[in-house]
Amino acid sequence: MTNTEIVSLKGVTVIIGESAVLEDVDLSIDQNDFAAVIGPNGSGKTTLLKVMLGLLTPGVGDVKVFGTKAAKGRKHIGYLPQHSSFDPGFPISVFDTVLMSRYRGFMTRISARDRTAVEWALEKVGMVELANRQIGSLSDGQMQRVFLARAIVREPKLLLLDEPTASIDPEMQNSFYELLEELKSKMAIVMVSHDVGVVFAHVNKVVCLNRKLFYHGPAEGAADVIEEMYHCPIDLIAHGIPHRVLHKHKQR
Amino acid sequence: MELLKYEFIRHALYASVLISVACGVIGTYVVIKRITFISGGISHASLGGIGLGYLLGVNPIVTAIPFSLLSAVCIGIINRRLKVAEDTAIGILWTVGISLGIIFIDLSPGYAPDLMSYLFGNILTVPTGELVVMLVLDLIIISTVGIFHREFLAISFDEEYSSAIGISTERLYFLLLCLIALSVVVLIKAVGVIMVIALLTIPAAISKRFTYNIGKLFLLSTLTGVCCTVAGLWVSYMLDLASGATIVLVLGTVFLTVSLVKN
Ligand SMILES: Nc1ncnc2c1ncn2[C@@H]1O[C@H](COP(=O)(O)OP(=O)(O)OP(=O)(O)O)[C@@H](O)[C@H]1O
Ligand SMILES: [Mg+2]
Repeated sequence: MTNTEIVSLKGVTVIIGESAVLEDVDLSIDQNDFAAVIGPNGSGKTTLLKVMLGLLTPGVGDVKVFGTKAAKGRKHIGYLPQHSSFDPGFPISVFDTVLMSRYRGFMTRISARDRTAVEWALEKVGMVELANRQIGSLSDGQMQRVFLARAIVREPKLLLLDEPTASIDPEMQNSFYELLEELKSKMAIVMVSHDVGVVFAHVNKVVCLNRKLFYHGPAEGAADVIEEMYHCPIDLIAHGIPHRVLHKHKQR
Repeated sequence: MELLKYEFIRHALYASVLISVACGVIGTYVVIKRITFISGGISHASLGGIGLGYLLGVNPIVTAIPFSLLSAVCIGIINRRLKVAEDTAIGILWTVGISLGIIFIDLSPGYAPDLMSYLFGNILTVPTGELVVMLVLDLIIISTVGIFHREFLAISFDEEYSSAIGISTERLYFLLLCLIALSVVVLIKAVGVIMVIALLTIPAAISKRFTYNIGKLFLLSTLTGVCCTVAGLWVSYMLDLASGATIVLVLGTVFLTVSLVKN
């Protein structure tokens, strides 16, 4: 199977207010990639995903998604935002929230196929029982699962996940990684996470970001860069990877 | 029932139904997207259009249409393009619109008959021509919502995510504001520019306590609108009170009762 490039960033610089949030970032994501984006708070990870989605247009640099403008690539992208701002009293059920994400363009109708996809996605995140609940009545973790369902229901070719495991319980985390293992043969996945140890066991590419791109390549080579970037030794990474899930706070 | 033999009562009843369709459908979006005050801004600004009607010597309802559409677009542009805070944009438009209205009326020859009915509403004086205008506006509103319902729902829920799934969020937001402008015109005769927001918010706010299904919300808000305006009409007729204010008071009472009972 050929591994074609689906996202290409060249010399991307994003300036918000006075300061550069991303500076001269070159990045490419291939169709079979499962990539982790890591970096300290405020390092521009969310910004990077928004650039790929075309929600932010960089002042300088070139962004190509599926060979075209980022905004046009959106129909093949599933997105789980880090934060969603919506009214918790909004009159919509869990099912309809996920269904909303099957939007394919102007004047398209909701089909039986769309409904099946929603059922499948809710099943994958273990939310079938709550399908008829009003969205605001869920807990944060349940909400996060629904938003994950909302991202995968699009059957995307590229899945962008911004800290997907925040506020998800350990059981769901396990099934979450199982789900990603299942999905990664069908789509490229780019995932922002601080959960470095766990993530490294699954991904084939690591993107280390702190305003500039510090590293971009296989997980094995990332350890030193990460230590430098976080300004503290991160034991779990210094040793064998992948396929080893280490405890985050290793005792010395 | 014998009241129905009066033409003005029949007209008032037709008007109630036409009003309720606008407030049931567009009011639902106003409530769920939380743009009550933008709608208030648009409705007050439409006084400028009414003043223009006096100045030009045409039916003020007719001049109110382009004027409120224009103010809807302006409020959108001030807010989204010029990056002015929403409440500031509303404040500017609200007062500028009213000022224009006052100046236009000032400049008009003679005095302004019926001005009070545009300010505070008088559902008992709706001529056939205006009923037709209201009907046409309702049809435009319903068909546009029919076409763009999915998009409107999505941008009401979360604008950023809507953009992420490929919806032209800003354009649809402007379109929604224009539909609000049209409903304002439909509602002016009932409660006047000052109280239009009552009809745009209260029926939907009442109905939202009973369902979280948007389709049912449209229907229930429309029904609530019909019942409350007809009840208000009847009370105002019996007690000889101003119809617009009575309708708003009936809506307010129902809202309060429902809120208390539902808690
Ligand atoms: N709307 C904004 N206005 C001003 N500055 C912003 C805005 N959005 C982001 N920034 C700045 O851009 C930088 C990068 O933000 P971003 O959200 O991409 O970081 P992040 O890597 O996702 O952080 P976190 O790990 O906390 O989620 C931050 O320094 C932030 O202050
Ligand atoms: Mg972030």
